[in-house]
Amino acid sequence: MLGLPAPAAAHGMRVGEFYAGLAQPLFHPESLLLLLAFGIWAGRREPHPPGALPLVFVVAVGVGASAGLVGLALPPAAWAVRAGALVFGLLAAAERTAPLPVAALLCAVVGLGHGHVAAFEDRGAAERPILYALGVALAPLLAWGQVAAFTERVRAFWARVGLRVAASWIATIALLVSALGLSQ
Amino acid sequence: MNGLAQRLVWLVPALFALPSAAGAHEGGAGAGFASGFVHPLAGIDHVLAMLAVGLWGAQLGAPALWMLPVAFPLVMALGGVAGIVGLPLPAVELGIAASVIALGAAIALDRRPPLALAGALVAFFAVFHGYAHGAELPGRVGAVAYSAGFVLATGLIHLVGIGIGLVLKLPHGTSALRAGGAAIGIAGVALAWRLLPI
Repeated sequence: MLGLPAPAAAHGMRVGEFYAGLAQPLFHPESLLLLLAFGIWAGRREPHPPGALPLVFVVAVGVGASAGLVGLALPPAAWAVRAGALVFGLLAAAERTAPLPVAALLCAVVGLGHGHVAAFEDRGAAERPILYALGVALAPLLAWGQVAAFTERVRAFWARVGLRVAASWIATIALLVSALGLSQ
Repeated sequence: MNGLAQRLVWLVPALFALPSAAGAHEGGAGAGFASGFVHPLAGIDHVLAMLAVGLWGAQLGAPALWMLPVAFPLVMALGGVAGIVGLPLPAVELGIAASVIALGAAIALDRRPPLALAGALVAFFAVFHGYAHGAELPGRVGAVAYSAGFVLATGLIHLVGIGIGLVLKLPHGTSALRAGGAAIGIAGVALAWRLLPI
């Protein structure tokens, strides 16, 4: 998917604003990276109340998307997405648990940035922007749900190792992307 | 099948005795995932070092088996950042050649240091590899696609090294693995020799 040489132009297609929002990460590689990292981090068996962090993240994404759709500028939003992929990836690779307030704050800041990035570029294109924002906000739940279901069903040691390795690679990619963003 | 495998295991060291120049870093590369994927493969020095990380991890066993191939790409990316932003780092190619020598020697001598020391050694050399790659990244690329290809290729080379390291399970596997490490180390000496101003 990442090797596609041209934009998939989901934003000009009329597949329904909700599904366009849901599919937004597929056409924005940095968002996809973030949601993969978030899914691995939040989808593992954490001591926090199940669903607490995804809920915070989803709400923050919704708020960020709404802000983007009405045209509020948020310049550091793209960097929040990259930093989020890096931090979630590192935390998941290290299997480190942050205190709930810290983790919630992280989810809120990163979610805000992701939602804004997802919606700001396409503001004005959606006929029903609330549906687009809803789709964008619910997309992280898919990533979280997939990993949570996987860790629930597959308890093998090597499955856990595989997730940690994958998370480390995501963090590595995010680091390189951030550096390339600085240089370009 | 068992007998064939035992005979084939001695081919493993021969795979690493390829004497060729370093030189992944000649000219820029195109954009995109394919370009990023190909870049780590373009230099025998990088390939040998990344294979050696996988082999050494297999030799050390868990948790080094997967922690070394995690540490190398991550620290390599930090080195890449340094290369991209233009921080000074002397003797990069010599550092890369030294990594091949050191890792090959560690495998050949069956050195099993504590995990932290092994990780530190791998991380130290990863900086040089990352810096060399970072200094030659193309100017305008699809950042995520290129980086993803780059990291995936690096990780796959580690996995190939780990897979080859599974020869440990064969009757003469330990000796074959150590011989492979020696071949890598000798190749590293050849790489370093070419860099000397003689």
